[in-house]
Amino acid sequence: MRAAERFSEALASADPKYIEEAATYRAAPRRNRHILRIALAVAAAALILAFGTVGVASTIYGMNMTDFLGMLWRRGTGGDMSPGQAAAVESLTQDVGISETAGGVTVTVTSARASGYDLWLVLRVEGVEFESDERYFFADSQIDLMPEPVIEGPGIAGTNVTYQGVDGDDAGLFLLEYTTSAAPETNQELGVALILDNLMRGEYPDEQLVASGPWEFDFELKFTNEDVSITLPDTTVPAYSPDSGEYGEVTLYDIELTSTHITFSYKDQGGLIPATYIYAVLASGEVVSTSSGSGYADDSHVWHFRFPWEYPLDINDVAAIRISYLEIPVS
Amino acid sequence: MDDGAILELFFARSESGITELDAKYGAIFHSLAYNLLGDREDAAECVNDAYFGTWRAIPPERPEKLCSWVCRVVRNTCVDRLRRRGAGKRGGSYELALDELDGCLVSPENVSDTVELNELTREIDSFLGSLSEENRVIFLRRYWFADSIADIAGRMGMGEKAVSVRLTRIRKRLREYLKQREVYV
Repeated sequence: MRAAERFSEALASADPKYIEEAATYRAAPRRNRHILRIALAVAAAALILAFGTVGVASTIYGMNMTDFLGMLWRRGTGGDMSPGQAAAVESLTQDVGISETAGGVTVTVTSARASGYDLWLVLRVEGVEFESDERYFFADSQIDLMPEPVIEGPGIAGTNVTYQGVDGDDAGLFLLEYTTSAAPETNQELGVALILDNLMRGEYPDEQLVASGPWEFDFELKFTNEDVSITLPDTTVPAYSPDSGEYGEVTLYDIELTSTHITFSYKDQGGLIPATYIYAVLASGEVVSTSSGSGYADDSHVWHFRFPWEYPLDINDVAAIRISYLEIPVS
Repeated sequence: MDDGAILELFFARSESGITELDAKYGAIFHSLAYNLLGDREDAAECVNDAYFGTWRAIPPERPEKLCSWVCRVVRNTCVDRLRRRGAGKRGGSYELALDELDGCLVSPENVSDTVELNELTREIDSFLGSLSEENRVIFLRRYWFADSIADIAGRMGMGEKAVSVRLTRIRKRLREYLKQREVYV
């Protein structure tokens, strides 16, 4: 008898109370499932701008991903996104509006930006008195996608959640980024299961529990796949081998630029790793970096890398790509 | 009619006990049998067999949870019939559910390390107890009742993708749970 049949046989004798529960279960209307559309408050209050990775003290009005990234862009550059860039962000933004409450704290996934398997989620947290100069974080965050990302060879996937301050109602705002080296299957809706564990504050080793989780979410996003990309010429860039300590060069090929990311490949040459300081230089002079990145080597020892941009770009605004000190003009 | 009254009819050897049982839970039993067998005629036969089995067992049995007790009789009857059919002719969502489970179970290196069936049931109960109600229902609807993803989505008020994601996650959790406890199936 195969293992699953044996398991099924044992499962058949499971506690009758669980079987009764499953036999007669009828879902209550989804709890707190609604779209949050909070009008932008008039930005009468002065914004307290602060920079850094933790304890970002600022007031952010509006929950939508477009507003949210627009605010972060203003923080970083002092100006507004170009209309084209704002439109690029808007085209990738989807409302989610699902809330879960645990330990008296409500977490809402308000808005999402999806590009292939790469996700950005705006999380809004109510029920906590956030302090402006404190660091807040979730003890763990886990994302499962359906269809599951399939990675050829060793690959990576990970999430990063950063506290970004409070909104006009003193709710905490977090930006969750998820990236994977897996190539997406196109045109399929993306099922997302997100688990956020306990909400914490403070710095190691003095971290304190703010609220006990978990907060669990299941939702679907429309698959968004950029249809515009620019291919750049093969380019030789500086490289370094962490194993041998030697410097050298590798040639990147299949360099492709889209509004959300840049990808390239290179043949492994004695463990040399190319410089991965990659920027998009805009016609306005602004520079956009990559927010994270991932890669894998296939059976032919060819590495394939993918770096999402920190902000979606209007591809028409990009004048050049800077890799280390080399600039590749984008025509 | 409440379950206690139906049981009293069985104890009084009144055949209307079966009529009342069917009126109250027949849809659940038929749907379970159809999920497992994928054939309406076979499903109807198995439910009838299960009613007969119930008639013979009560009394002396007095199940605390009548619906789940009869569900188990229906399920066992259907699984027996599936076994008689042979692996090649099974098909249906039960087979799909088994395929999904195969991926999350760890086989022992030696047959002697295989967990006893009643011990496995205890571990499964313990695992089910560790799940949230919603996750437990999703898991059992798929692997006990052999519901399709679409049916589970409808029951739970969720999207089909969300149900698939949830099941993947629960299976992962089950695998870790069994591995941690060195439960080999």
